[in-house]
Amino acid sequence: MTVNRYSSQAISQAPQVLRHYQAFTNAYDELVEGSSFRAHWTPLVDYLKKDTAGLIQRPLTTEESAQGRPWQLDTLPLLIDPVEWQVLERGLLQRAELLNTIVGDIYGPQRVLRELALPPALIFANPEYLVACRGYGAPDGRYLHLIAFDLGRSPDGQWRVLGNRTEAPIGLGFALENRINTARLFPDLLDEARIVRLAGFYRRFAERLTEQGRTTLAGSDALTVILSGGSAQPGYAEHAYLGQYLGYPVVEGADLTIRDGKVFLKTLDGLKPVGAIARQIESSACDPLQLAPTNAPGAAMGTAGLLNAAATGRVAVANAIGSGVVENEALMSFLPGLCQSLLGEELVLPSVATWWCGQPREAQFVMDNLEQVVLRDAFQRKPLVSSSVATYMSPDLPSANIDELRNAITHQPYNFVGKEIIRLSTAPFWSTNDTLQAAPVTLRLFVGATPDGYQLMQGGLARISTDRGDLSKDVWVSGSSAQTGAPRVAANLVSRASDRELPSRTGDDLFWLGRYLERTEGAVRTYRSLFHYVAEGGDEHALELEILTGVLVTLGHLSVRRARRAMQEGRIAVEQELWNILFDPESVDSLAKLLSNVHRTAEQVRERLSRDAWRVFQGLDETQHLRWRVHTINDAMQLLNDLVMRLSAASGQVADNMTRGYGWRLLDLGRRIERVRLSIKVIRELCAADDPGRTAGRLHLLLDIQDSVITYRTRYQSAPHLTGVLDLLLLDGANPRSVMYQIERMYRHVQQMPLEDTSTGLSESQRTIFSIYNDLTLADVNKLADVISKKGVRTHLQRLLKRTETATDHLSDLINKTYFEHTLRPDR
Amino acid sequence: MRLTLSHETHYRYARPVSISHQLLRLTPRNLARQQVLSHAIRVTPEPASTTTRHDSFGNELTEIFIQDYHDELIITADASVEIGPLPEILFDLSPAWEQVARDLTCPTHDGAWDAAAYGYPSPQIQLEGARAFAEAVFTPGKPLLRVAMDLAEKIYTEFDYQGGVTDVHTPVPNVLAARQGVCQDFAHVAIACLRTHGLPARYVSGYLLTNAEPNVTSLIGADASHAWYSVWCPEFGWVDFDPTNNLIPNQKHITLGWGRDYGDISPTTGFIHGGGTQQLEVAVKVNVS
Repeated sequence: MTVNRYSSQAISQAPQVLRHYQAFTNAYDELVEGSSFRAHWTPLVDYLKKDTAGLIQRPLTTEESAQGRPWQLDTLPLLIDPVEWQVLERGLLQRAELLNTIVGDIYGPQRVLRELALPPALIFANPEYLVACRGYGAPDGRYLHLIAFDLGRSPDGQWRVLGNRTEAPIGLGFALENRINTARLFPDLLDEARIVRLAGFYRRFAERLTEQGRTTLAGSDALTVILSGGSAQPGYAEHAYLGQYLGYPVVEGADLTIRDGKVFLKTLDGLKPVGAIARQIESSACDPLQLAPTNAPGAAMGTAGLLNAAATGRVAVANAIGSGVVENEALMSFLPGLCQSLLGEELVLPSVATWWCGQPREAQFVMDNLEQVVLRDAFQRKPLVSSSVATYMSPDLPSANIDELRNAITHQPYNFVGKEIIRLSTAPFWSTNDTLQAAPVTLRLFVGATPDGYQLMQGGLARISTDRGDLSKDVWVSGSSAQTGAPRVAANLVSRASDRELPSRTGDDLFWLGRYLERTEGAVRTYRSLFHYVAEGGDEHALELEILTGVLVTLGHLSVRRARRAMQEGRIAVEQELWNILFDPESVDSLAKLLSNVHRTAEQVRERLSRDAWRVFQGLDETQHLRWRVHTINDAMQLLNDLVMRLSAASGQVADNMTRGYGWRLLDLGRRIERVRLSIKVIRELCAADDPGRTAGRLHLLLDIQDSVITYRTRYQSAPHLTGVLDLLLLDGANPRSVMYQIERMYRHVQQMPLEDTSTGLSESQRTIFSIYNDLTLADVNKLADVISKKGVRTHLQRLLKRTETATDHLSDLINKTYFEHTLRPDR
Repeated sequence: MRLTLSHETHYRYARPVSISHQLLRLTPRNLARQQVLSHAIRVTPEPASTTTRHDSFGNELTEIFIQDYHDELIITADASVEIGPLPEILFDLSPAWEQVARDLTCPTHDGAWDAAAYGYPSPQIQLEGARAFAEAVFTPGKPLLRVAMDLAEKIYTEFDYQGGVTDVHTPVPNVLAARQGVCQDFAHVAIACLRTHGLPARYVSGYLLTNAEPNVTSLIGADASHAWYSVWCPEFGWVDFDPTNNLIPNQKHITLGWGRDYGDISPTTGFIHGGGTQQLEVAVKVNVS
């Protein structure tokens, strides 16, 4: 029991920002009671008083709060009285046990139906009741590992449960993120007010899940993974965040496979046993073999055979597949009775009043009071993000006329539930004029299974309904000093998932991220050269313009049609069509497509990227939407310079912050392969044919596109000549832009990769790279430059380029086959 | 009567399949009137693993897992069953349908509890439109089994048996609107009509002997694979009705298994890696032995 050290103080001594705070007359206010502030808010009120500079008086902007979160953060936390918290804690732990028992019973003996007289429609008409889960035996009887409870306080001061979220509750990541952001703004206050840290809850929850995974049949080295619907799903940002924080690989259904009834993760290093799965996809999407035999959307998310593995205890799924069966509001009014029968206890925490129409009396009540209740589809689960705080406070009567509604209730009564309209309590938030105002608030609190049984997270997520829509808030609870203090932000609970557990699909994405990054950089440099000459007065540089548009066409960035027009009509045409030339929608590999691809692949591997790196990638993607900023050649140059900077920043972030594991090697392999392909294409375009009159111009361009002008100058201190340029760009192992340099790097990477079959000396990949290495080493640069056929082709050069290109493509295929192919998305 | 059954499912894939995971519901059930004398499922190529278990409806599931590359998959189920004659059913002794519906909202014995699971909408049977369609059949006080028989007749009279216009996922309201379909659709429609009135009805999957004797009018069924519905009635238990042929199944219907709708008892559900486009051929033969 924590002794409250504070006494309340009068509003008359309020800090500036609270002078105009006005509680509603007909609702409970969290901050104010009569003419004083409630005692547990004292530390915060004092802090606001001291903050005369107004340092904390602002909500975080979208830029600051992480992308992909459903609500903006209001930085002022919601404080809960520690004594009151103990009641909530007792009530919610009891509820967690109760709901877990009910789920186990529904999928087991169904005593709640046959002995405790729950109406059959409550289960059998509920689409979340998955028949295929009947007989599901969860390890240790733990079906629910994480439960979120939505709570609201009625005017009498009583907290009521508004919703039980048992399916795959979201918000755990957001709660942590909110705390980290809030803690940055109130660093000392957290300690001073003895606010309990959240980290302990996450650590204990993760410990229990991992331990459970290892006691399943999967074995002591079994992995725990987060099963996500992928980056296209709304919750992905949170999955990536939690994955990073807990050290769990974030996987999709296609990354998992079932062998001998057990679950394995397909990794770069082969199949690894999976013991526990933190499920973040809908139950019905988990197993296309048994749960979604129709072509339901989302069916491709799951893993064939997963349900049977889970139901027979070969993998622990948190929460158990089918857990959504107790999430409906129809069940609410039965909980007091079930608590008494199943646990032998009174239900501590009441629910908001509900009237499920599956019972005749309740149906009659609802029909007689349609204007006074919130009428809902009894079994439809409202996604957290799409519901709002306001819906608890007004009847959202569908527009259908009352008679039709009564008729519908009469015919399928079990589909309807009426809910009491609740006048929620209010709490302060930062309004737009930097003062604090009152608005209705709800709480989302989390109960998790830990090695010591269920525990309530000492904090949570509050949502407040404002004129700017719902905002979220951190929830503060004070406790004993041992649990309190600022969070250790960077500390990962479990050691980072090692690269040996890198899912093959992620490896594939990293490889392509490397390729797209490099390809984009090549395109941007070439465009920059082009616009440079156009800006200098295109007519004097007709040759350069022709060559550069030719290169852009060869590389697929520019369509032939547009290139021809630009050439014929000169600078003015280029200026008029600037944007279309730069982001040519008709070309096969336009800059716009490349930037989207970079963004898409980066998004797929987001949990492997630092937050700063991710921000850089998002910035890159935004560039192609800045059309309104580009009117002249100079604007375009600026944009391209900016892109070059951003691309270097992206490469820098990746190079500096990724561990030197398989993932990083694949990304770098992708870059190197792409760099070789680009070099070969450009050298072929500019040098393969003998064109004596134009050699100097071509060589200069070549060095420019290959970013080697300075290197050449320092090396040769003379105007470019062909042998020098070829030597520098192809053969010189000391030039980081040369083909030789890339080959050496590739060789080193491949040597370290896990699945290289070296039983006959060198693996096939190694042999392939070695063959290019040989060709380059043995090449005679004078012959490359000087052996010219009658048709004017540099035959030696042409042949070397061709062989290098073929070998590089072959290497790419080999990497694909060895490391990624088994990740092919399954067909039906 | 003793019947032999052969059910061959043949997939041909455009590209090789590396992994195939199939769930088969191809084992006929043993029932009071149906005795399975022999039964075998053969799969080519040889599966790496084959396991059997029962689903919550009591149907036998066979799960196979193949991990050799293959470009065709052949599943053959052979069975021999002995089917006893149907005792006479005294329709008019069954309780009024409203009474049964009322009792089911609060079941008092095991039989009723088992039945209750079939009394509500299921993934492939939504109830929209069913009440209006069946209005004339559900007259007040009519004995339940009479209702069920009249329903079969109404569907038989008003719907055209037409292959190819529906598929295994066609929703009930679409079938109601089109007034045509195959046995599976007719069973779904009847079940929807019963459930919308609070009555438990299940979907039965099975086979039909279509050519018992030459020169006798053949019964209708798709390649001898057939489906019908069963309604639960206190004292009588589950009673089958075949709306495609407007009769009560007797010795020519082999029961494979049942569920809430087709989705619960589809003969094969599979998940494969690779394969490209696939061709499926199903051949079912039922003979008197």
